Amino acid sequence: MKVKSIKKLVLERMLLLIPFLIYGLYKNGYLIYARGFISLYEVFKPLYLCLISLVIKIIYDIISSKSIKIDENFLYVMLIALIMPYNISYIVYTIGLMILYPLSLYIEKYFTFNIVCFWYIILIIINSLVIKFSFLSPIEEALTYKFSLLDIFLGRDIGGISSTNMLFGLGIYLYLIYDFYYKKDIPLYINISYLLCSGIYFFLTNDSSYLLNSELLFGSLFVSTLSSFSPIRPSNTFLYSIAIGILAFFISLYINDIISIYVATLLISMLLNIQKKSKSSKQNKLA
Amino acid sequence: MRPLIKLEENKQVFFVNEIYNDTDPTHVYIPIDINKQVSYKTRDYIYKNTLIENTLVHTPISGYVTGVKKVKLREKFGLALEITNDFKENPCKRILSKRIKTKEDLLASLKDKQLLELYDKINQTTFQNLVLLSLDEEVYSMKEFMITSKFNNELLESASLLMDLLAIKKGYVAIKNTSSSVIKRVRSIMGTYLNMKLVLLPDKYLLGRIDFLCSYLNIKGEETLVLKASEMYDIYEAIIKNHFILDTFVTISGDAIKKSLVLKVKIGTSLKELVDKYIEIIKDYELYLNGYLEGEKIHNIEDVIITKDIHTIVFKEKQKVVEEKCIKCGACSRICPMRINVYNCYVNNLRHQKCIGCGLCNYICPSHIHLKEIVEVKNKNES
Repeated sequence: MKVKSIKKLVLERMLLLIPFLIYGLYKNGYLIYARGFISLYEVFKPLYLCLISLVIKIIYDIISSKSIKIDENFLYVMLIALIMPYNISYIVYTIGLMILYPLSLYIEKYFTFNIVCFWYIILIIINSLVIKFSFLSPIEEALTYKFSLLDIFLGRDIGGISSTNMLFGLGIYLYLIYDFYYKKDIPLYINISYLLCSGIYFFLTNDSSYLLNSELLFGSLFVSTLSSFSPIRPSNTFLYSIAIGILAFFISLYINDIISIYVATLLISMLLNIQKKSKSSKQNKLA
Repeated sequence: MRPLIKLEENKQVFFVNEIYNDTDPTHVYIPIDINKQVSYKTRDYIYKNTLIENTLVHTPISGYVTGVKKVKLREKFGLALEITNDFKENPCKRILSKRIKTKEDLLASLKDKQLLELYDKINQTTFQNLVLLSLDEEVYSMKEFMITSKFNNELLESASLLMDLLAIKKGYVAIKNTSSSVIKRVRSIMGTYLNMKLVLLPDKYLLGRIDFLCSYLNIKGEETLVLKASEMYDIYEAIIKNHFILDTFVTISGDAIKKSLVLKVKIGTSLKELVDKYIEIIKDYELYLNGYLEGEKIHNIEDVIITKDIHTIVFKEKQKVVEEKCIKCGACSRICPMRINVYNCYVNNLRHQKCIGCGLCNYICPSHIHLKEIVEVKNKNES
């Protein structure tokens, strides 16, 4: 069995995200540029977002500890760059992350919650106030597509800038299940519970649009499994994942399917923390 | 119990394929119980094989008492009587040879040779199975492998004798399946021991522990007498050769030394003396007694003397590893063979009675947190 340090774990996960980034550059860069919707400079937007967030993290590290630490925050800032919608404003993203990054690290000392989901939701809210609420790229806004299930599976779905490829997601999951440090049960339970709900919904209404959700797969693989914000014990992991899967389905149904996994993960991680705090305060009282 | 795992090998550890014999230490140190009276003074002459009544240990050399030294004993410090070797090997008594025909004879002989742990083990109950175990748990240890490799005939002879004396029907010789040279040697002589069977064990950590081994072999632990190759060799020396046990085998290994080796040394020899004679240290090191995972870290090499309890000394390259914040990956809880929620113990600073001190939680932790020190109950009476 291979033993890994935090540095190795983080670098390995970041490397696993690179295929998604490349696909993002193709789908939300090259393809849109080829149709003449954007300039050459705009082709690299997914990469710019990654670089901006990494630079913010490095600057913050240098200011706070005068050295660059390869810790979990590197993974968080890369993840947030990949799941942002195409129409995120550079200014909103940069300023938002510059404020949110140190703020959430401070809050985390007192209250644990999924930081990536928190950043995502706040940035989307600010972006929708400043520009407009949309997950569509210029080409998706201009043209109307009818996606088959295979299209969605191959990543042509509407969603984050580099997070829609389900084929990569499944391939990487097959790799990750052999990683001892990865909480492999979480994505499995989330997707099964979501599929059960959407399957029942399909039988009742004949609406297949909720059956596949590429953002759910990506979020469950990388964001819900972030070890600092997810439970450890098998029974807690099961409850956590099932709750996220079911909640994500209802959010998809009534609010929005793209943000569903992130909202569900944030809420459940907060609930988990409240439950943990109440349990420890009870233990303290008993003591 | 959880499925066991294979430990990652350290490719910078090079073993010499022979047992070095250190027969002439300049000093030996016999641990003494400070609560009891010591009947020796400085400059007293002590013959070889003399039973030091204070701790019931036979002296492995002859020479003069030259003082008392503070030494590291099992999980604590203690005092030891320093004997300076005169290199004459004057024995105090010759042992009269007596044929061993029954279990009682065997037990009496073990007691006489002060092999009290073996005496207790064999005296417990009647056994159905005997397992001769040739398995070194840690990647840094080669003691059992080397003993089996060099003394396979002697070990099988003792095992066969034990089976006759204790009326044991089934005998197993358990060897790691990667030790091909030992397997070949044992196979070549197994034909003469019809009631014994060769069992190949996978290279998994903790299979050397009786519970895990018996569970793997699908035999009942309480009906099985498991003896390591080193223990079987002691029985050979004590019962068949009728000798006092004055020597022990110890592995000195690690990636901070040029060559790792197995040594046969006099009990009570100072580690410092052995290192000066046989070991070439090439890097800054950290010293671990009885293995890197299960053992304890030692800060001063001069405190260590070789006793029967010590099987491995690891010179691990000093690494600039800093303990980091826990990332709650849960690997410690998932890997624990006793299914202890190690993370919970860490968060609440709890010790756990079920902990067997295997050190797997330390080994797997990506944050390099010393979890074993938190979870393990060193004194089992402590809650």
